[in-house]
Amino acid sequence: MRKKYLLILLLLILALVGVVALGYRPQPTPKIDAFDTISSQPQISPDYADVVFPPNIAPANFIIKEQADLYHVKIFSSIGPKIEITAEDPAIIIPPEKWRRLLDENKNSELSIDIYTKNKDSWQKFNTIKNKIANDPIDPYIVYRRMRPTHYRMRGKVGIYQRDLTSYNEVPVLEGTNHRNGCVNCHTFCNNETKNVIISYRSDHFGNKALLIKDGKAQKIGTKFTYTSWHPSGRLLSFSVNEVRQFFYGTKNEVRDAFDRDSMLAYYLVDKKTVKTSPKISSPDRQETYPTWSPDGKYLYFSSAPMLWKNEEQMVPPDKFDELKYDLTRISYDIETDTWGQVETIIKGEDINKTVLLPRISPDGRWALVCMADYGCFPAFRPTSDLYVVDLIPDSNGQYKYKKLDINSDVSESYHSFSSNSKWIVFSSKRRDSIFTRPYISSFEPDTGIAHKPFLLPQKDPEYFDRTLRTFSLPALIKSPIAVTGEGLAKVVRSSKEIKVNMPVTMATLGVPSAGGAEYISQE
Amino acid sequence: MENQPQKQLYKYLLRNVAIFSAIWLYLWFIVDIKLIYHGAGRILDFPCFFKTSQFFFSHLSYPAGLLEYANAFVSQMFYFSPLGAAAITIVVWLSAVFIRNILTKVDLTRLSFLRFLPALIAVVTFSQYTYRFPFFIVMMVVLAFVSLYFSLKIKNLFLDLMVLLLLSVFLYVIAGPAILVFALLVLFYRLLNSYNFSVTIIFVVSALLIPYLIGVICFKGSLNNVYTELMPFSWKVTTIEPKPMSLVWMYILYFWLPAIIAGYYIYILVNNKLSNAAAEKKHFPKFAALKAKTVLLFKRSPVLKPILQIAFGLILFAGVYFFVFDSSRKILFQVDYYLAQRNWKKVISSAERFPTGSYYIVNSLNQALYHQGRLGEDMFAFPQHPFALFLSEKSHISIHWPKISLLMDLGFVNYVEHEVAESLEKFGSRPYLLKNMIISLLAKRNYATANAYLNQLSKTIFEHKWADDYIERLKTDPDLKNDQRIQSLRKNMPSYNHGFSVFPINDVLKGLLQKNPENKMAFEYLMTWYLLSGRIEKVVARFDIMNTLGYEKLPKYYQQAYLLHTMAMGQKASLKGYKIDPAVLKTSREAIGYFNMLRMGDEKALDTLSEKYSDTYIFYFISLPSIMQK
Repeated sequence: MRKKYLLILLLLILALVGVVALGYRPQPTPKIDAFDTISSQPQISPDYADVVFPPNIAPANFIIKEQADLYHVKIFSSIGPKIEITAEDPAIIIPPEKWRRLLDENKNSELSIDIYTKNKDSWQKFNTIKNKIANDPIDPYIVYRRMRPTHYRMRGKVGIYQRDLTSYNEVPVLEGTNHRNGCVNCHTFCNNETKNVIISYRSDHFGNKALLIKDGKAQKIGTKFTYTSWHPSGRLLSFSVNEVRQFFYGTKNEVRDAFDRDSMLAYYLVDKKTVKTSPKISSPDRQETYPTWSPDGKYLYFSSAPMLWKNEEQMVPPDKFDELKYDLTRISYDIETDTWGQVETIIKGEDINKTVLLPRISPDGRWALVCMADYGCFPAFRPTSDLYVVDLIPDSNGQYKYKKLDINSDVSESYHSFSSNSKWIVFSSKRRDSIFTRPYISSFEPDTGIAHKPFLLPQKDPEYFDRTLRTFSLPALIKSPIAVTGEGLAKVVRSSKEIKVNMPVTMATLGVPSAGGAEYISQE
Repeated sequence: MENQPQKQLYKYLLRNVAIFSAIWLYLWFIVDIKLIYHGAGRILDFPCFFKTSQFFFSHLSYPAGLLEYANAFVSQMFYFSPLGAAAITIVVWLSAVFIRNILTKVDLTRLSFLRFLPALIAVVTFSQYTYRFPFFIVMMVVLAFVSLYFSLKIKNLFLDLMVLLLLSVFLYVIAGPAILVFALLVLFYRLLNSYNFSVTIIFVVSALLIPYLIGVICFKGSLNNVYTELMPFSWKVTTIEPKPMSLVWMYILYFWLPAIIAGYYIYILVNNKLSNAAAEKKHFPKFAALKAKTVLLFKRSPVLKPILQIAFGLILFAGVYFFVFDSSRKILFQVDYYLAQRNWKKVISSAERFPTGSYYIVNSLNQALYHQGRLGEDMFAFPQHPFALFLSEKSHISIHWPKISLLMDLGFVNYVEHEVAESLEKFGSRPYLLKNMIISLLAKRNYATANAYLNQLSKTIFEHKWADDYIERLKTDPDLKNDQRIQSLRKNMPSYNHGFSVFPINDVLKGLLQKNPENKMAFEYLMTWYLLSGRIEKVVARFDIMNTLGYEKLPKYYQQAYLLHTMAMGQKASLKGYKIDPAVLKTSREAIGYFNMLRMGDEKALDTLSEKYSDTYIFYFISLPSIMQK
């Protein structure tokens, strides 16, 4: 009797497996002898047309936005077999192994995509989509913060994640839920490496502090940093102290904006566990922010603006908030003697009627990639924010030339960074919908300062970015994965052990009250 | 004789059907579960559910995710009160079945009436308009596992241990740290039955290690969560619970059964030490006699027992209703629910029942009164405060939902977007919030982002039709020119841009009127703002606009403000063609008379004013200094 039931059960399982297998069987490759030609490019999403792919990028899966009963896609280059995919579903999922081989064998070549659609009994072929495979790889990991586009972060899920660009694997570096709904914010790497990493976090329960990951060991630093930049030696970390205030607009498409009531720069000497500053980078009549080191460690670049309001002024926003324009400046520094030179202005915001923010220097030292917007200090909140490159080799008149990159959209571009070989840039853009920041990758020519059409970070599910209601901010490229992640870091956050810092620099140096509520402004 | 067990079974079923039907009806009609689904911007942890594989798979990445997924799905049934009430009833009924089985297995059948405890706790917690449903589901699953293990009675030690470990791992993956409750119950069961001690010790140690091994090592979870997820002491629960005492019920739900079995074990131990059962009889002869008498009484009168049981049940229900049921909170939820439904009459009738003054209630009430054309006629029949109009006090920064509704009605779309963004962060992707976000984005022609939210809403179980309809409409009418609501918002949205951090009531209302002088709601709110802040000269100065807005007569409170203004200024301002209603004049004169008496030092005049004229603007105006001090 039991055997009989067992047999029935076995047959049922077999039938189920059969049905599932039938449902998932691959479509046979159709023989397309004749087709009508459609003299336009097919609409695909994400837009993977006319872009340059790194040879080590994960398959750029896409959705065909054309109505059809059946889809047939051929992906090919000069060498090696074509990748052919036939599907009833417009989502085209490229086999990773075949994609990897195709890109690897065809560096510096064209990558073409032919799309055929079948409606009723006839096939149509669209114009071939042409892309390029670059010769130089991109750093294999990208780190970003993911959260809701909230205005004041309160209890939603936020985390810093590390994504393998050669596949789709993503691991959480630090999530807020691991320290009682805390917030995680700026993450900074030294020379695109993970030997020296700084991650800031905020928590009602565990304080507002920073995590230092040095040589694979994580420690808590007993103070908070806002925007940070590693000196290439890894011995020093410069940071800004910002008195941030948020406000809202009555009519604009971007509802929120923020400004610094005051800000200054300081630096943390890792070995001495000391925070210092200099009047040259913390002037009372100027606001200094967004520090970044030149790759040779001789210059600290930063944005600097005159103080347009008095410290006592409590109005939010202050009267002249929309007149505030930051300059791109730099100051020389000698790490051996810990001495600062004089502040030089590279681009004066007032002169070009723009605010110059977030400088990032290419690892070859030639270019400064900056955001320029109409006013203010938060490029992610300024729809006018565009990416510009500044040639750091001055012309014969000692002037620094700059140009707007062709990769901009009519909404905000921000939080950019270079790959270690200066050949790739990654940045956050709101171009898809003007609210959610998404990571875009663009090929960059270090000789000319030209950036090529950017492409959206490939995902296994090509509809991922159509669906997710989270923003991706602060994308940064790194050469190897972060040594301590997840619970390893969370334990450090929760632990009472921390590096005590000699702190001659406090918020009082700014002459303003403590940030209070402004702590929780979402700095996407 | 043969029919006796069957009869017993029928009796048992009948009793249970009666009790659980009563619970179902109570949850349906008295609690009205749909109010908890709506949440009123007060229930922070109500789950969202989306019909996508991604949503399902995202729940597989952590222990207890499966149960959270199931809970999210079942909780959607709360959308319809009868369905939601049925879901809760089924969960507590199943729990009761498992508890009965467990109590029988540990020889505590006489305590089987305690199986109704989860049901009672459910009735209590839902009567307080809190959302504790996940805990009930967790406990139901734990009880099912315990019940299953107790029923197996495995003799082979190795097999016994393997089954225990397998059940523990399984339970941890499904229900998370509630495995600890399972471990406690199994521990006492094994001790009671003198099962192999080594196996017991190995099992207990394993149960303690499993959260770490599976949670931290396999699922890469945080130590902070792997031992606390879905437990009442989890930081996720305690940080959002304003009343820690209300969690006591959850502690009882989780630990009463282990406590009882542990107590029984200790009792047995102590009893064994006393070494004879006779001692028991000697100790409790009175109780034994009482028990015998009771049994005899029930045997003589078979209807007595069910009557007593029903009476006890009714007393219990009445007790819960009178002592635990939070009727004020229900009204708060109702007001917000009907506000979201734009059922203005029900907003007003619910608000009228609210026992004390509440800014929150008054804010919604004013909006409903406006839509019923009664704002200028009846608003002072309710306790008013300038802060209530826009919930503009500092402490109101965390209140979003009524503001969303009000600002959307007024046409101040950007601030709606801000409030919704805040709410989405706090409450998750609740359909009510998604709809408001979509409307504001569509009004601003931000179609790409609206589509992202529409896609999400279209994956909900009960509220997808609204999204599907918009998705279709956008195909045929891409700029939504035929959508009256969107067109009206676009007509009203202010065009003058300004930055602000504190909600600037005056500027916003003036900005709205500047954009659309026919925005009647903005006008009435501006006038109401003037009335509430005591600026009667501004009320009088705006009578001229009322002709263009089509007012046939001056609302009562504007007339009273005019009369107060005349009295204060000693001369009449222009009525711009409007007339003072004789009845209003009479009431106002009387009230002003008492006001003058009060000014002369007659304290009794105040009593008369508050008794007879409390619904007049004059009384509000007189009370304004004391109102502002509150």
